[in-house]
Amino acid sequence: MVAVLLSVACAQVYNETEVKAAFLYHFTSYVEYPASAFASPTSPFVVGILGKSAVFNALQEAVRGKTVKGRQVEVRQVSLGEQLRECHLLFIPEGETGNLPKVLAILGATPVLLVGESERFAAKGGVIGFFMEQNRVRFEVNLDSAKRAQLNISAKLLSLARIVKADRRS
Amino acid sequence: MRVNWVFCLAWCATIAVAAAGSAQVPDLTQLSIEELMQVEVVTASKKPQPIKEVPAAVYVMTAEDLQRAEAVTIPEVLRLIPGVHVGTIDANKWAVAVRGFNGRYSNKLLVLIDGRSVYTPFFSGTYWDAQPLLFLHDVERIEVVRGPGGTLWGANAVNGVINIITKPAKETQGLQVVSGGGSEEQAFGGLRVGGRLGENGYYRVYTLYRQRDDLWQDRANVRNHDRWQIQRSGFRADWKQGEEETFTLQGEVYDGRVSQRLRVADVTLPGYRLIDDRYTITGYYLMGTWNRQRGSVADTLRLSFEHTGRSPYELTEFRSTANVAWQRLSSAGQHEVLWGVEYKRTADRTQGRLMRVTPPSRTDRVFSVFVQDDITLNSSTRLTMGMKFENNSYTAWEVQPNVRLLWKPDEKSVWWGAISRAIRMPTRAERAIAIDAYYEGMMSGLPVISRIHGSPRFRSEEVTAYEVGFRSQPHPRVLLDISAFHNVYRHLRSFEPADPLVEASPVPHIVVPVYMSNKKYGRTYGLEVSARWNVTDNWTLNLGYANLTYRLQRSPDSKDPFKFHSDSTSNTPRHQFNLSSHLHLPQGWHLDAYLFFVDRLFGMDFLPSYYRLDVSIRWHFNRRSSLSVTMQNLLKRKIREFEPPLWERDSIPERAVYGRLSWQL
Repeated sequence: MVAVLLSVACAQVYNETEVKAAFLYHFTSYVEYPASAFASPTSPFVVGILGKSAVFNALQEAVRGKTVKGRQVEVRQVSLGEQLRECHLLFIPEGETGNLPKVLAILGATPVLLVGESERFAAKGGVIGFFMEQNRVRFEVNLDSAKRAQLNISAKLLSLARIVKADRRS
Repeated sequence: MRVNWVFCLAWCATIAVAAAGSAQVPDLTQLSIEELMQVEVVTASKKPQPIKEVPAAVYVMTAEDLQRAEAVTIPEVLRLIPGVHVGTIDANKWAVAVRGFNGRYSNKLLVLIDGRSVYTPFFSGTYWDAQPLLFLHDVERIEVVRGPGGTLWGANAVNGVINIITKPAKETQGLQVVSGGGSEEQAFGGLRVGGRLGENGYYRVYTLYRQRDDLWQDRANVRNHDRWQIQRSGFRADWKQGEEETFTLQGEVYDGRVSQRLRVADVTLPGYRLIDDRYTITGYYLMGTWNRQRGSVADTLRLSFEHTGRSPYELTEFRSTANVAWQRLSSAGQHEVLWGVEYKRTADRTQGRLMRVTPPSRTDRVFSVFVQDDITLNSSTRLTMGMKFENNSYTAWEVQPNVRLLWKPDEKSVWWGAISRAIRMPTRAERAIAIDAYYEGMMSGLPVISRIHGSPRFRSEEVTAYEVGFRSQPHPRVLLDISAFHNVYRHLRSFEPADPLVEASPVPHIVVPVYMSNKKYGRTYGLEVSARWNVTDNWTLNLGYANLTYRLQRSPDSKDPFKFHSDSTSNTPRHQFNLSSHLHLPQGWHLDAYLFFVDRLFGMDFLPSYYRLDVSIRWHFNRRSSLSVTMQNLLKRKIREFEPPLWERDSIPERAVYGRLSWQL
């Protein structure tokens, strides 16, 4: 019996952080940015992580030596301020969710793929929000937020996502 | 025993070899996004649960906590929960209580599995030997309510309620195998298969087996006679009809062999005689639940039938119980009203050797109506008022009201307070039993024994509980829960000796009859703290502390010598704490450590305070499967945790190791 077990012992269990980091990397290839998003053909693809999060280390590890859209990838730890607009992908960890309204105000229509992991993140103005279902990481997409950020999301990504609408604000 | 150690070593070796074979971690970014969506993750409990807005002292053990609990019996799982006192008596007996009055026959704690009460009306307690561990993977959560739950759950939820809730069949699909064994846990295993039933239904069937040998020793360093073996099989099926209705049908059947060593007073010796007893436990149940959610109204109807049988030397007991309950939850405006009715019929047949019950058979009925209104006074305050009217065969109508107030000044803290009254209705034993419990020595050349009698006049015990609590999230990674209580008891059970009489058979002897009565009263008070701190994304610490003080007295006309109590006031520790650490290491490794402190107990014997350390190492070798090794009692070779009633012989748990494999396809 033990031998049988060993033969299946090839796969691995990951922690949520590693999986989310891998998702962030994948998202970049399914999103089309306006030309204005990059200053020059050689400028890097900037991924910002707001505040402190283990996703920062996991993502740095995951993208080491890889390119996105033919550009080098730069993973930065960022804080609230104008520098947020330099990012192409901005991840808001759970603990920073309270700052979402401020982030939205700073970003305005800047082409930034805003990803978060708090409950109903996309409905609250983010573009992509992670959620958990049966111990698996899933994501939802808010198309209105994507449109506002001038981003085109590929149909393939949308087919895997749950599409949500923004909360109605009174 | 040697065989088991070999088994353990083999287990460790397996883990080590398997670990060495999986040194390289695949790069997740190499997976396609579809594959990535199928990757199962171990949640590193990044965020504590949001603060619970419940105006009661509630602790919830989540599926995530249960997944890492390597415990293999229900009492061992309950031990991990702050405020629950668990004492091992022997390989198949435990004493479990919250807020005091613990004992082998502790009777103030209600235990429910999926809403079905698993305690016996015979003594108002739970036969833990008939409840082997469920599939922990199939348990959604365990809720422990400290404090009276009489308004919702009825008589006997005096000091607390333990609610074990299993997952819907939809969430337990596929094949799951659990197996393991070790030095004390000789062997345990289980198999579960889940699948679909047509378009709208799901099912699971499972079977569990466990076996413990007489590995433990009693006080005299003699190997005890307490082996335990049980198998249990069951199923659950859920259907959905339309968007509004769901049906659940579940059932189980079990069969076990249990051993125990009894110490029986015998006037022919005269003295005590040891009896090695081996008996059968069997049972089954079937339960159907119908739910309908229509608009803001939710209805639940539950029907169940259960049969249990056990034949220990002291008393053979067969019992059939039928239960029907209906409840409705409706909300309108500020009010959320829950009300319901329940009818229960339980019939028993007994035959005793150590304990005699007169009459040997009896049918009891309980009918109850309850209503509870949860009123939102304003955005931060909620008032809950409830009342239960219960009619039972012994004491007719009983009323159990409660009032609770919850105040949430901000998003990060909740205050609550409650006043409630609960009763414990007389048990079958308290009305009808006779036990030749003690050999008292010789008097005038004749042996003397005390015989404990139930009394037809025994009435309900009552408690009025005053509670306050505070929950807070002082930091995003810290969750704190504090509660304090003051319980005032009336009509507690006392034991009243009467005038001795002489019996001629089998040899002339003197009997001191001792009648159960209600001549004790008093109060208990205490403080409970639990805290969870997610130190990092991969490291969580849990702390629990419970403090309890007794102030019990007997009425002036009572002659209770304070020695006949199986739920003796001194059988709950004054202080106890537990600290657990859960470390999530790279490559699927986990290290969990549990440290317990339990204060001394004074029963007939003095049991010193002790520290106990349990450690588990677990390795998830693929997405859904794991291997683990658990070591119990690392600090001390032997710890005597609890003292049984005088006619039972207890065992002293020794240091133990066991391995477990959990494999899902």
